[in-house]
This record gives sequence, C-alpha cells and structure tokens, in this order.
Amino acid sequence: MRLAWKIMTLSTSTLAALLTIASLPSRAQQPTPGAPDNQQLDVGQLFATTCGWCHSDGGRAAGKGPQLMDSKRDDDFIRNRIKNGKEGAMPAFGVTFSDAQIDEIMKYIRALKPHEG
Amino acid sequence: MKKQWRYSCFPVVVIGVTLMASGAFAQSVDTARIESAGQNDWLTYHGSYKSYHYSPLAQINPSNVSNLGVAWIHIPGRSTRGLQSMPLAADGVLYYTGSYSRTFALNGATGEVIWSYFPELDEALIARQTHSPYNRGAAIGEGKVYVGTMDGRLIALDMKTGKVMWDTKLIDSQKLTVGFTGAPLYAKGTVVIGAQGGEWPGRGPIFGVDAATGKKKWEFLTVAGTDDAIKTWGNDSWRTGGGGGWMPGTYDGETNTILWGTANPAPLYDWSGADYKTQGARPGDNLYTTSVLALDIDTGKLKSYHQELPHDAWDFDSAVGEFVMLDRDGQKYIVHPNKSGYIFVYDRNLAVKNVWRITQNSNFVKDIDPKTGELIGRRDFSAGKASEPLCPHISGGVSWNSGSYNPKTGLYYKLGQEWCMTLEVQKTTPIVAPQAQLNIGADFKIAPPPGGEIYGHLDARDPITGAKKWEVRFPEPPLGSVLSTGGNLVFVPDSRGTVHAYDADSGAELWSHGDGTGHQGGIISYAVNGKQYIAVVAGFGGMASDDYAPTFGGVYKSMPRDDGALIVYSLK
Repeated sequence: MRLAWKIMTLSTSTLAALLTIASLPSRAQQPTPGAPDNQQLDVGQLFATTCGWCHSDGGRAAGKGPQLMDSKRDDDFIRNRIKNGKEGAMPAFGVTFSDAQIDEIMKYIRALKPHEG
Repeated sequence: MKKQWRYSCFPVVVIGVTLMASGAFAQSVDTARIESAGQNDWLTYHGSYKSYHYSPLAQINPSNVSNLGVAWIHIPGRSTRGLQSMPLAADGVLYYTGSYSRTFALNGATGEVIWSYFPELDEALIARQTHSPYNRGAAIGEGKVYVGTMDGRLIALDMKTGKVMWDTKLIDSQKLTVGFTGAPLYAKGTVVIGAQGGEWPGRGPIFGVDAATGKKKWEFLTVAGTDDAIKTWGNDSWRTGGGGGWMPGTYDGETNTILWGTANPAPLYDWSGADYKTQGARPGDNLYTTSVLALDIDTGKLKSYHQELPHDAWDFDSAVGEFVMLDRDGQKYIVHPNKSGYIFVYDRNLAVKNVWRITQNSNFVKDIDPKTGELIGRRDFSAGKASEPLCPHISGGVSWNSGSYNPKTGLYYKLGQEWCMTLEVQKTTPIVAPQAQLNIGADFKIAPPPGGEIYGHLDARDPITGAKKWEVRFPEPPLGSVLSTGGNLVFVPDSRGTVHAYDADSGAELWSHGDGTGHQGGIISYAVNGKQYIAVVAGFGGMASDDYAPTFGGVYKSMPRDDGALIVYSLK
C-alpha cells in the first residue's frame, strides 16, 4: 500500500513544483516558482522523485543512505539531518522545507512498513 | 614556498605561486597541438581529440613494469566524494582538479606545487545539491586552464600563474540547483562545457565560450532546442526537462564540429507503458536527450544527431564516455559508449554503422538493431512494481569514465558492469520548476543479475565489431578510466584501490599496486625530461560508489568518501 502523507501548508517556493496540478501549463505560460502555499505534498512522491536515490525502496532499505524504516535514530537527529544534511552524503533541505514539513516527512518515515506480499 | 593573496575583480583566492621548476615551461597549447597529441603530453580530457585515452610512450613496458613505483603524491585536500578528475599534462607540468573545483599546477617530475587555485563558491548552494561537489577535470589552451564550478561558472586561469583571467556566470545555479561538474573542452578559440541536467527541470544547456574573453558565444538547449524537437515532448512536457551534457565530448577538425553526448529526460522513469509516444510523463521521443550531437563549433548550430535511446525510460545517458575517432579500410568511424552498455559505431555524420553490447546482463531492450540503431523489444514500464529486475542498474552498464583505444593493438579496452535493480515506477506530478532536488519517478534498489553475482570486467575488443579478444573479471565493477600505452600495457585503477597493469595483447596481469583507497577518476601517462610517468587519481564517493559499502561491505565499509590523492608512478 502506498503511503501518502499530505502536507496542507507549504511555505517555500521550491516546493511549488511538487504540487499536484491537473496538467502541465501551456507553452505560453511560464512555470510558476512562487506557487500557492496551501497545496498538497505527497511525501511518498517526494521519496520517488528525490530521496529514494539514496534511501532505497521508498526508505525501506539501505542504499547510499541508511534504511529509514525502523530507524533507531531519534526525532531530533533525523530532523537535524534533513535540515542541515551531511557534507558529501546528503543535501541540506533546511531552506526547502519548513519545520512543519520536516515533521510530516518524519511521520512518513516512522510509518514505513515492509511491502505487503 | 612564497604565499600570495591576490584579488581580481572576481571573488578568488590564489594560493602559493612559485616559479616553475626548470624544464617545465608552458608553451602554447592550441588546436593543432591537441589534434596531433604529442608524445609527452595529455592535453585534453580524452587525451587528444581522437579520444583514445592512449599514450604512445613505451618506456614502461612488460619487461620492466614490475619496477614501477610511486614517484610522488599530491594531496589536494577537501576531497569530498573523492577525486574524480582526469589530470592533464603539458610541457612537464601536470594540471588537475579536485572537489570544489580546486585546481593545481604541479611539476610533473617532482610534484612541487607551481600554483593552486581555490575558487570561492556558493557553499550554501552546494550543500543543497545532490550531484556535488566533485569536479571531473579542466581544459587547457591559449595559455589558460579552464574549469567549471558547481555554482554555474566557467573560469579561466593563467596557465603559468593561476591568476584568474576571466570568470563567466553561465547558468543560474541558485534557481536551477545544478552546475558544472564535467571538464570543459578547448578547441579553435572556443571553450565548450555542458551543464548537469538529467534529473532536473532545466533544458540542459551546452555552452560555447570565447577562450580569449570569456564571453558566451552560443548556447544549445538539449531539451527541445529546436522547433522540431519541441514536437517530441507531448503536452509541453519539455518543461519537466532533463538532458544536459555533463561530460566532455570532442572536436572533429575536419568538419569543424563538436561531438557531445546528452543525458536522459526527466523524470528518469516513466509510467507510460508501451504507448510512450502518446502516454505518460513526457509523451514522445524527447529530443535531444540521450543523444549524440554534432554542433558547429563557431555557432553551436545543430548539424546532425543520433538519439541513441528515443524516449529514454531507464536513465541510460549518452553523456558518458569517449568518442573514439579511428579510420579503418578507408572509412572514418566514431565509437561511442552509451551508459546502457551498448556501444554505438558511427560514421563522421553520425549515421549508425554498428551497435554492439559489452554487458552480459541487459534487459531494458531485447536488442538494438546493429544496422539502424533501432531499439528492439523495449521495456516501457507502467506505474507499479516491475515484474523482474531491470538490467543494468541505474549506475549503468558502463561508467561515466572512459575506456581506451590502442592503435598499436587495434583493441578497445573498456570496462563493463554487471548489476541490476528492482524497480517500482511511480506516477508523479509534473515537476516544472526546481524543487527539493531530483525527479526520479521510481523507488528502486540495487540487485544482482538473475542467477549470478554483481561483477565487473575489463574487455579487450575490436572497437568496430565488438569481437572480444580477452576479458579480466573483478569482484566489484571498477569505476575509473582505463589507460593503454605504446608500451603494450593496459592500466586499470579498480574500486578496491589497486592499480593493475595488464599485457595489452593477452590480458595477463603484470603488476599491481595499492593506492590506499578506491578509484573513480582518470589515469594518464606523460613524460618529463625523457622519463615516463603514470598519474592516477584515487578517492572514492559519489552517486555510483556510495552504493559499494552497503552492497559489498568488506573494504568499502571503512573506505573514506571524503579523501583523495593524486599518485604518480615511474620506474624505480
């Protein structure tokens, strides 16, 4: 089952492109970096677009980065790592995500379960 | 050593300028000299425009290679994600780059630092980037050394002093979150460099810059760069971007043409199913991604192209590797590897003459037609879990590093990688502006090939037919470049940290030496005052090598990913 944690309040323009939109803009339109702040973010999709290259299988398995499912790290550690990254290993997302959004990503991580079947 | 702090109109720090050692005087490096590929030098990323990664030097050969030992070592410092660059050598001076575009000129005989240059970079931006902060090399020409940066600049340094001659901002990296990691190419008064692009919603530009002034001459967009190309991105999906030319190509002086490979479209994995022409994230062929381009060097105008993988749905770029230009039986060929492990053989107009495969494990297509280059039996995924692992793995059937063609043996020495991955494609929302970072479109995990283990292999093959003469296997795929020499030797720096020398005719191992950490960059040969040297960069870490510790364990568990050294060998 696909996990889909929704974030209802977005505050950064860089998240705009993750937003659910019905269709691509026409050629006459320009992409809108500064998008509305009340759209939805699918954290499962965030893993499929960005995080999953290193945290394999949606965070369920170790890859370049550690397995996130059943992580023994506490919330403060994970929150700090998402915000500040680790040089040469993980980008810093503190500019990209608000604290509330990072909390939502952590909820996704804490809820990770093995695939059924 | 005298230290000087210098400021120009650009934010720059030049450290440690000393006089060059005797016998090491920079002469003019120009297009004709790079074309002729002098005996003692290594003047461009691929060795010469012929792109052989071959040195004619024969002082080190099978009879004495057992006496090869370390001549000197240089530590660049701050080697985050190891060292990945291809050194250059001209007139006894070795030039090379490290992470954060640190650039060095060293006495080729002693390793003494002649000058060093550490650009002041946008560190906050770099901390946000995924494919960063490594640098894969420089270019030289017209008395300058050219290097790109992760924050979107191309910088020219005086070859003798390291002083900044110009510093040109080419892309808005703050907005796009990508920059330059690949080496530039110098030819005919122009410096060409391609941006990163495959995983981001940009249009993957390739730039031509005036070598004398730093002024941009032209820009070619690898995503929908022409009216015809826009039509190959249904629903205006060119806005999700990709492409880019993140590794250097080469120059064909006979036709005044730049040959350059491009990266995949975004998202990497599409949910279109079989009807990719009309369905999915980016309906159509997605020109000019995963293509080889022929661009006029003076104008950047597209002269011809071949899209190696139309609608690439597997992240198997054409941006990787060399463009081996050779003549056989009156026919002029270009041999170029695709990241998938298929090797394309073209004529000089990029018409397909043959296609052969270096990997054993490959199932993203059933085959590629050797006469036309058409993909046969392609696997286009729908959303959900792939029924069987995809081969090869996202790191490719070949590395982004280069193989070597030896004109004396007539053999092409190339590394192949045997690995696969589980894949679950996700239908994602279109990403049309830079966001958190990448645009992959799937969850995946590295996996062994069906019925076997992951491994790598060095093949000695006919470059045109692909006929294999010999093979050497490695327990883990080597990721570095290959060097062959006129001394009938083939050098392979492997992932565990050992440099191997093989007999070019038989593949028999003749010598090896540990460099203390894994390799994933360049290796060259040059000569100073009649003495031959082999220079190799060591230092592990990055998008492919970061998988080694969790996958293979062993020596990789303790291998640093923030360290590196340039190691230079000569006969004792």
